Amino acid sequence: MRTLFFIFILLALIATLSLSEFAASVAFGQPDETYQEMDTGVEAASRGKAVFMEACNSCHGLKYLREDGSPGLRPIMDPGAAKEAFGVEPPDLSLMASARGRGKTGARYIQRLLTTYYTDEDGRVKNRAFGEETQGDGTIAMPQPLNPNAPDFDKKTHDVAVFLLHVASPETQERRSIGTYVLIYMAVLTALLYALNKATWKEIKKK
Amino acid sequence: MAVIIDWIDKRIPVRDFVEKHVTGYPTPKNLSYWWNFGSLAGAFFAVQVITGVWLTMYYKPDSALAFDSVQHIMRDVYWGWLIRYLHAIGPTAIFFTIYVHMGRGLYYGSYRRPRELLWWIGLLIFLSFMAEAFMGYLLPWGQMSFWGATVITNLFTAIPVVGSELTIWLRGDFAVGDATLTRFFSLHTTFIPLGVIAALLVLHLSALHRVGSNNPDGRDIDKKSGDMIPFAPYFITKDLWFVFLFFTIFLWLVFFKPDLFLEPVNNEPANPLKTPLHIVPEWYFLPFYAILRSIPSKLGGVIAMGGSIFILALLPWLDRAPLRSARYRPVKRVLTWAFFINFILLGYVGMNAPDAASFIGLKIKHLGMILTFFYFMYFITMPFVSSKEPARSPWGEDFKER
Repeated sequence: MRTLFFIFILLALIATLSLSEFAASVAFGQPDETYQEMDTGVEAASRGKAVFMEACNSCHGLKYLREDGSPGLRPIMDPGAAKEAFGVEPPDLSLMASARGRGKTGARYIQRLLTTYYTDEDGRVKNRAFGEETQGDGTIAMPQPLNPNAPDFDKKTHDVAVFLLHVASPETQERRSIGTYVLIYMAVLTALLYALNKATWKEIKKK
Repeated sequence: MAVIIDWIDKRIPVRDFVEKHVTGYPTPKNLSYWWNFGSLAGAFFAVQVITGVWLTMYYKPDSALAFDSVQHIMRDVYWGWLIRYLHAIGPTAIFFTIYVHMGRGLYYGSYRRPRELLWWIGLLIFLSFMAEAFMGYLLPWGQMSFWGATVITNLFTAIPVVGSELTIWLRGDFAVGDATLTRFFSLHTTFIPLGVIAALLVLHLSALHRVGSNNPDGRDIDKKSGDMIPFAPYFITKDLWFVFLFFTIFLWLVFFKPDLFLEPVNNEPANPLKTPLHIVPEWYFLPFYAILRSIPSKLGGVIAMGGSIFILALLPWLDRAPLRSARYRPVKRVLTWAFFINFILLGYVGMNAPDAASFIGLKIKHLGMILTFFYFMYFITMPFVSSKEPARSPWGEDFKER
């Protein structure tokens, strides 16, 4: 009975994990296999920041950025003027990487958005990253921000996506490093309490 | 120390209370680990209350400030991200635990005489948690918060005559807005958790301690027999280690997979002018959402969804077998497991778009109709099945004295 029970817990856990992955894939499409594994390190993020300042910051702000004690980054262009020029107000990108997918999938989505611009037969600029931006038919208000013919195009799109991932969840590093100790502590404590329970029940089980 | 306790005991019956509810409370020796989920749900509720108190210190219930204040908690408040993730993933733990707890009651016949009130109070707790989770979900003021609240409050418009007035009354405005946010915040942080859930938990435990725990055999056990043992220390240590086991799994989610149960689109601020591509409720509402969508008419869907929970309250009358536990009722055992699988599949249906193809090729909405039919058939056929099905136990009948 007890072994059965643990198998059940394990299965439930695996089921929830796969279900959530499945849900993510339903909502945001399968992660594109054509891209290489993302390097989510600090260096890529800091290169990405430079790309952001150069190519994105003119329209997009990062109001929740907390680097160097700054209270966020404002877009250079006035949002009202940007709305007049593009039809929609350029969204703040602080949380975009977590708003478009769980874990790395959101950053991947941003990279895909930046790299899948195309021109349809009517000459309209469209995008293949079907999601909230393109409302299903590929229409997108944002002109292609990075030059696809530049030699470091892939690297730039990757780096800026990684940077946005860092901005979206700045606590990740701290969370994971503390989490390891928390889990070790909890596992030891659980084992001790299990042993205590074994000891209390010993006389009952004997009868 | 003893002097102090004596002094208090002369004025408040502390010793009697502890004796009655902890040290001397007789508990069946043969309880399996399925009986651990009640105390586990209580422990997770305590986590929600504590983390909720801290979040309330920093959160701003104002549609212009709410979204920013959540990011303030995530970025500026010391350990704010931890408190928020604990509170945001807590409902997953609570609903998982409650579903197992209810499933155990269903399987072992814990709803039957004399535990009808215990079961009904439990159902009210379940409903209160649903209301609590639904209102709490509006507070981050993200896209899914806004549109989820819009869709669900819209259901009330299906009620004839008073529907649209009632919806405006609930929202405090013609659409979900600041008035909705402030009232949901008030109810979510005060009345529902402390005035309703906590009060119902006291009643639930009082009722439990009056009638005693059911057990895997479903048999009435004489309080003085050797098959009953005191709650302390045996069930204190048993509950305690089990709570820590689940806290470990819970903390693994909090520290390593915090976004697993959080909807990505909710990281975008609420925008009444832009509908998200998919509006999906949290996983714990999915089976009921599937039932709602399976009935072609709006009012019919609302009635079916309400009925799917209300019908659980009828179980004490629907079940007519001479024994409680499915352990000695092979037909009920098979049907109940089928019901559990059916319920999980309803969750799968609720997660997907109605016109999408399901994994068996059928359209999701058609699969949903079939599963909804089976959901209700489990209860509708129960009076006939349970009075005819074979029910044999080593000791004879449960309800002989009736």
